Amino acid sequence: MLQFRFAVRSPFLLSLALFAANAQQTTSPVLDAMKTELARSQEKLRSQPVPPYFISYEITETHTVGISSAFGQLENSSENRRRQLDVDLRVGDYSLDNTREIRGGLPNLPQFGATPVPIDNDPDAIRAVLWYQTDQRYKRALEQFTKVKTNVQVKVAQDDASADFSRETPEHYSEPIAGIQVNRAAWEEKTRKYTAPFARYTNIYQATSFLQASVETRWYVNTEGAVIQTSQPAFHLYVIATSKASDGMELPLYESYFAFAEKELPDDATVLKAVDKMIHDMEALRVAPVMESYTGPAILSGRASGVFFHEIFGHRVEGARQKNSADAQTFKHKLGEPVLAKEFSVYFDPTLRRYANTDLDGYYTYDNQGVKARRVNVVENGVLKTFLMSRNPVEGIAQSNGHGRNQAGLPAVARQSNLIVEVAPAAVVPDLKKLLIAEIQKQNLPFGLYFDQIEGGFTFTGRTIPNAFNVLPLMVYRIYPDGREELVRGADLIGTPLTTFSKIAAADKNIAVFNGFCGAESGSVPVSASSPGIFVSQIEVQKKAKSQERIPLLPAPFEGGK
Amino acid sequence: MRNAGILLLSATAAILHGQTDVVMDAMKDELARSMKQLTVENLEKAYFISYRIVDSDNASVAASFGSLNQSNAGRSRMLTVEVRVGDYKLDNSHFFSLNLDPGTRLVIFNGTVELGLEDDYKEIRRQLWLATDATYKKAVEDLSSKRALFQTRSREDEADDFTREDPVTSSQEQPPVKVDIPKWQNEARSISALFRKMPGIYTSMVTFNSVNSYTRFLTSEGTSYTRRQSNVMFNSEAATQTADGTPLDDFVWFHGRSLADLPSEQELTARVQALGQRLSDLRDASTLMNYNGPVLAEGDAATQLFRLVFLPSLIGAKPTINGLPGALQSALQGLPGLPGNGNQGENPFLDKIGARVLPEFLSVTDNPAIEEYQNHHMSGFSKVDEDGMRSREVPLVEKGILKTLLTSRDPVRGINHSTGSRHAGSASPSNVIVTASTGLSEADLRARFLELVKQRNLPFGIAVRRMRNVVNAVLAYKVFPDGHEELVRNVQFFGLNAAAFKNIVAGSSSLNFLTVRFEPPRNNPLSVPIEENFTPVSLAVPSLVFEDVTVRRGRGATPTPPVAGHPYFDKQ
Repeated sequence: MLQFRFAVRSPFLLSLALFAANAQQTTSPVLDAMKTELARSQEKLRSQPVPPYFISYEITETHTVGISSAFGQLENSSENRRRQLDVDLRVGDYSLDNTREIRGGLPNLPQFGATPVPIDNDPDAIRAVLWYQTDQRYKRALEQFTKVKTNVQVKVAQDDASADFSRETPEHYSEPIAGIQVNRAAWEEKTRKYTAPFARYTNIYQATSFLQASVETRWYVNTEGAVIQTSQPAFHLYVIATSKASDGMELPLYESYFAFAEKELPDDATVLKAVDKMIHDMEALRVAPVMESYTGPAILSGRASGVFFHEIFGHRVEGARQKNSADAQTFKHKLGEPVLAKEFSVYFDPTLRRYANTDLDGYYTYDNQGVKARRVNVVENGVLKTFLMSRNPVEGIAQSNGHGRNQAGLPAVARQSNLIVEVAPAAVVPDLKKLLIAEIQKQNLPFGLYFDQIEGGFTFTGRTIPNAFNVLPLMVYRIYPDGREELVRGADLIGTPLTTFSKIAAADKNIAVFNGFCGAESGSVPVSASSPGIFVSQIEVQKKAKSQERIPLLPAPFEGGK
Repeated sequence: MRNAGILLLSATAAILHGQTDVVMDAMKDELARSMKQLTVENLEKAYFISYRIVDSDNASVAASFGSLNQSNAGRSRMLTVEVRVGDYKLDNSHFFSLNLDPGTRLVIFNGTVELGLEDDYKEIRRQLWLATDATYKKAVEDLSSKRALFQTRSREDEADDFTREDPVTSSQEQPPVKVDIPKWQNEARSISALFRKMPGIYTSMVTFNSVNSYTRFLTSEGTSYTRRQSNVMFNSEAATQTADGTPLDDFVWFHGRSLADLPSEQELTARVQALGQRLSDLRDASTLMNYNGPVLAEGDAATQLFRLVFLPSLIGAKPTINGLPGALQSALQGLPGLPGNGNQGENPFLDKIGARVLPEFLSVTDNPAIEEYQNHHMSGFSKVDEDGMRSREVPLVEKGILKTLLTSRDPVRGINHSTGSRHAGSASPSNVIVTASTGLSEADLRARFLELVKQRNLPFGIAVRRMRNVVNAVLAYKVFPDGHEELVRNVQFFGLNAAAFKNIVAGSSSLNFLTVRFEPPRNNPLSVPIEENFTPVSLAVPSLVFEDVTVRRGRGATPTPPVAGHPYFDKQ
């Protein structure tokens, strides 16, 4: 049985760019070609015995500059522009169409992938691609629909009787197309500079910095009349380094920065300071004791808490999971019920560009189904209010709330955007450490844990594997009753969602943002998760998977630093 | 189509450039240190280590229907480390294993790593050190697993694992290609725009690619070479369907070592027009039911059939002794970009050396030493192969008798030395020339073919001028006794295998020339060669008459043609 693994990993993907938002024309030759061919396709297919009831085209243009260096040496410097087409073509009607899950069958895997589209604004060449792909997908949809109709008859009645596609107001929106102008030579030098300090060490085996500057421009049209053009620059800068302890355990660390504008990225001094800290932390981690299995209270830093919420909660409020027969549907029947302490609220807001002095990677104005982005209050004062919705309705929620997202080439499903955890003053304390120490004394434990930096996490939401989550920390400290802190390594934070939720007790005022990429069935999409530091009265730690490879047999062929 | 390259054979690249090469220095120093010192307690040291560093820069431009699809350029530097533990007779090679250690961040993938682009001695040493370490550790484990396997199993292939060869130092310099990218963009646009005049074609594409590479190769035996070499390619593909839905597609592909080796824009235009024309013609062609009788292979089809059916048997490649687990192998073969593990089944020609494999009037030679043959550019030219062995002419079949197979330093039974034929990671052909000692003129060959048709009392014979693959013909014709021809579509050949080549009854004196992209079958589908992932093979093959071939109409479900017409032609 296939399981999806959901992961956010900050150093995982790309992005590096500098841009100039120059207001160009807002009527695009690409959009015009899409509109014309959409109308023609609809007209030509109307005479078929089973015509499509809905067609949408989305063309995603990605203009990327990528620059990377390792140990002070340039590794790569390139620029690339490409366009990809997504077609959503549906036969049947809003209540039952070709996209419905075929129960007992193989997962409905995407068959086409993203189709390349010409990058010149030549309507004839673009329309030639649209035409051929529409035809291919129409034939595929017909086949699927026949299977769906039989499956509906042969299997038991579905638990969730909701429709297959929501009706939405067609939107018209256009923002100017952003440009990208990165000084590549300058960034080549910067990435060299950021990784040069690692080169002094003989026990650091990977040290890379990369900048990915990109502009993603999306054009969307559908047969309901929506016409949308969005264009969004993004700059990602990463520094990644890995060392190894003598027992083989790999010790990766990273720093990541995200901004909508190049000038918002940190200056050299800030990055170099972080690099020094990474070197120092790796040094400390190599000799840190290995953490054994543990259960007890813990503090999660804001970033750790953000990922923690993304995994244990975020993936479980993605709408389509409430109706997929293979999903555990943890929260399906909990609408209106308390799921968290009453001081805690959680919302997703893709329209938020900035929070806690940080640009948010989950920002967008329209989702991949042409639905306007909006804030969704999922938990208000501890009570579950709604789910994140794409145009795939679930029982009781007929409309999308602008969270239908995908990576080009995959069908959109409900995905997260900018997750924000807010805590009412009653549960905010100035110092979580005091709370932790009180708790370990109460439970008569030798120590509690503080999860500082994390690299990401993953969770399982299916029914055939226990519904667990795993947060992958990089820097974890034991906190002893006397207040002493000790760095440890090899600890993963695990748990099951409902139990863990009931243990979240308090928060501090140190709000932090985790920007990253989230991978699930509709591909990799940029997201963020923001939270204050939190106190959890009981968590569980599992030993981290560990490499069995020895450190190098021969000493380095050069003198090491320090 | 004359290669403007200057070719040199001299002592070392360093001397050639009159300066020290810090990359080569780093390779030499780390190689010497590793051979001397690298060991795990109580386990063997390496008996052979090689380093290969390949610098490359590439450009690619793609267009369709008059519009650019993409235009990219990039640079890279890759390192492959090979470590052999054991001895020439039995070492860790030809053994498939996976490293499933969770510490994937520092595990070297098949000895291959990406390096920084800059010539920094210390940093290159660091990467060589780490890659050699990881590769050595895996080699020691693989050898131990392989020995364990032989404790419980007899060894079927008695060939050694590695040939002993005298050290050779060589270099090859061809001037790098300087691509005018805007010019390629315009040419790609204008050539792809030819399809705007071809209403019968549904999808089409034109691409230009260039790769300049500079290889530094060094072994612990003292063999080394440097090679500066380029690949320039043009490709165009087109596809359509017949009225009954049968898919039709074909391509043209050209390869050169310099821009001058590619056909002119005018010639490319003519070839792409011909591509569109033949697909359009095929849409209206008739079909054929069954045919058993003589087949005349002419033009591209003669070279294609030789390459697809016969040539693979002339390669002596040593299979891995354990292969891939079945499920994993089939999964990998399904993935695009990963070549199938094609040589697990043994090549029957291994036991045919000295036996007749072709009719007596046919001879085959592989000759990497030539750049030109009968005024045709030969792309498979090289001075040195990827093992550092000198390239040389290898007579493969003389008067129908198999003399040897093409091999690398991985020996196969009966062939104890390399033929200097390692390209794209494994033993591969280079320039393949087939000659017919009693070759007929094209007119006489055709007369001989029609005579056979008549003898068999057939209403027509089948001539084939272009294949799509080993089974499907693109251009096949009914040839009637009065000489007139009729194009037929959806034609498939059955039972055409290497053995069938023994029954060729006649060949032409003139040769058909074609350069093809050749990817040798790989022992380990996970290992991707870094110097070239394919090798260009130029073939010169006579037109051939096969005595008896089964030909039939292709069967199977076909998709229906598009519901709406092509938007560009519909509106006109």
